Amino acid sequence: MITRIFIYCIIAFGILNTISCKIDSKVKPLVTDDDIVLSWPDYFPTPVYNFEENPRTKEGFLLGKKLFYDPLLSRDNTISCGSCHQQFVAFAHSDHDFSHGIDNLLGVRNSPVLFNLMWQKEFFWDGGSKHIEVQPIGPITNPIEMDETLENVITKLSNRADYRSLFKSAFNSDSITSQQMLKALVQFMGSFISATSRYDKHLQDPGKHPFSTDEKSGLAIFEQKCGSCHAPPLFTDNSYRNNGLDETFVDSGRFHITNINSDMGKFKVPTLRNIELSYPYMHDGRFESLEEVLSHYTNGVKQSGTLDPTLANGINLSATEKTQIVAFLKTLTDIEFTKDERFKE
Amino acid sequence: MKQLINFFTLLFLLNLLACKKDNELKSDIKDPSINTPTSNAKYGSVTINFNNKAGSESLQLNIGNYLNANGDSFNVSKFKYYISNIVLKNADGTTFVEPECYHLIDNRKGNKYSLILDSVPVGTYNGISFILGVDSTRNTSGAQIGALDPINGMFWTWNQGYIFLMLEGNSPNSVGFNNAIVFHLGGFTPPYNCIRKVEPTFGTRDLILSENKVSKMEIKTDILEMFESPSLIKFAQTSESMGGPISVTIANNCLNMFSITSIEN
Repeated sequence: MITRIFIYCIIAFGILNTISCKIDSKVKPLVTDDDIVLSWPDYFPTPVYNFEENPRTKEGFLLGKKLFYDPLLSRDNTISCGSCHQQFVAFAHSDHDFSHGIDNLLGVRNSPVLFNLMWQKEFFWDGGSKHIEVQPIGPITNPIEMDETLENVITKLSNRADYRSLFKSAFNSDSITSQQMLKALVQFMGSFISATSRYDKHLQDPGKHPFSTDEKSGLAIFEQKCGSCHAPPLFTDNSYRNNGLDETFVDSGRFHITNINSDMGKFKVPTLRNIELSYPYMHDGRFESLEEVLSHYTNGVKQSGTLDPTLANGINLSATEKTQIVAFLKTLTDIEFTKDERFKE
Repeated sequence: MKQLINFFTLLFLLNLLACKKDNELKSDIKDPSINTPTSNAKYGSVTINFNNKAGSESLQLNIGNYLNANGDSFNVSKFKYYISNIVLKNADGTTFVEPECYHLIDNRKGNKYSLILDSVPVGTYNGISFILGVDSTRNTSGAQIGALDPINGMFWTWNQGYIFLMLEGNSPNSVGFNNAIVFHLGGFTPPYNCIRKVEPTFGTRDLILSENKVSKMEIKTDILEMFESPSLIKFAQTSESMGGPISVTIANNCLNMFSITSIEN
């Protein structure tokens, strides 16, 4: 008799434990702790954001991933972060000058790539966001992007049992806050590191990953004529410049943020990593190809009061040099990153 | 039968192991540590009330009708502001700094906002200062909670940072859309830094803090001062600001916005 009670007790315990572990097994990821370890080459600078105040866990990473791909973050539940940031084009918006936001409204700026964000101090084309954690509030609340309030997002998330348990397992708290949501998003997006392009491999082992003659020449010309703004290894100096697209400005760019006249028509120098994939180019996506971009710099630069002094006379490039630069730029394509299973929807 | 028991025992143990991490996490939660004074020092406390007014009248959202110094009549539908970095100055030259705290005063919740400073060393205090707004550090420290949770609607999403003060309403003199007046003060980088350190004077009164006693200080926050001096604001010319030069002009006027109306020791 006692044995039987004992057995029942054990069965009951077993079942109870299974139930209490159910939440755990739901999140049981394809991702392990080892998978979320971040690494980058030693020639990268010290990151701006180091996750000290936002310790990364696989639960936080997976929650961030679910949020990133969930249209719940938009007013009518149709647009997710991933709608305009697609992994196969390095998290830019494939072949879109402007992205369609909510109600099919068109945005006013080209959707930027998302990677190496840990090294970025400011975000958006005009640098209007000064911290990676609050950056997502921009697109979530923008009336022509996702047009939702933070308050509604938190309410919608709190009404979902799956999110309640995911937030609990990530942050061990019974209520969902905007801070947790934003930190989870950063645990995911901040993990996007693009540092496995052919350029990187060549840098680390040129014998094993040689450059062609064109690529080698392209690199040399690039370093001489483009590298001061698109500074390696991140291929941006994170500054704001007017690169001579227009004489007058429909979009005031950096001025919109600083109200300083000398910032009129300036935009952030974008990274050139994965540039082959992230077309169209410029803040308004006006150029379809890298050749068009280079032609702009050789004979399309327009004069204005805030034009970058380095571009006053354009950049002198022969047809061959242009071909070589494009060949080099294509070595910055990082297919390992764009196919990384951990970031897939 | 015995095998069955062994099997379930094993299952049970395995389940315990699987859940261990969960339990560990739970036990990780620590009570917020409270700093208890260890020396013989004595402490008192003071309640500070911020009273939102338009001149001598208590501010009433939507109902009240007010006149600015230029003679423009207006009403107010929204009035919210941050107070932070409160410092009390002791007559002996020392200061008491409120442990990091941000107060969001929202007139929708009433036109009086109370805060208490406790564990203040006893003594005679003859000055106070505080920041109208949020210091630049907290503007660039990432996702925040409590009064600084961006959910409170005091956060610019396009030029990210806190709105330090928000006053919205209507005036027949306003050239704005639907005669609206919309003043959002914010921005923490030069030349358009709107953070203001305010130091309302004590006059001849002192704040005396004693043990086991709560002193009281009443501060008047007068919205009319926003539009008066040193720069007279006429709604027919200036009916809105979202950071930038106009916000800076109004932030300078805000230095006169706070006055101490009474101190009870």
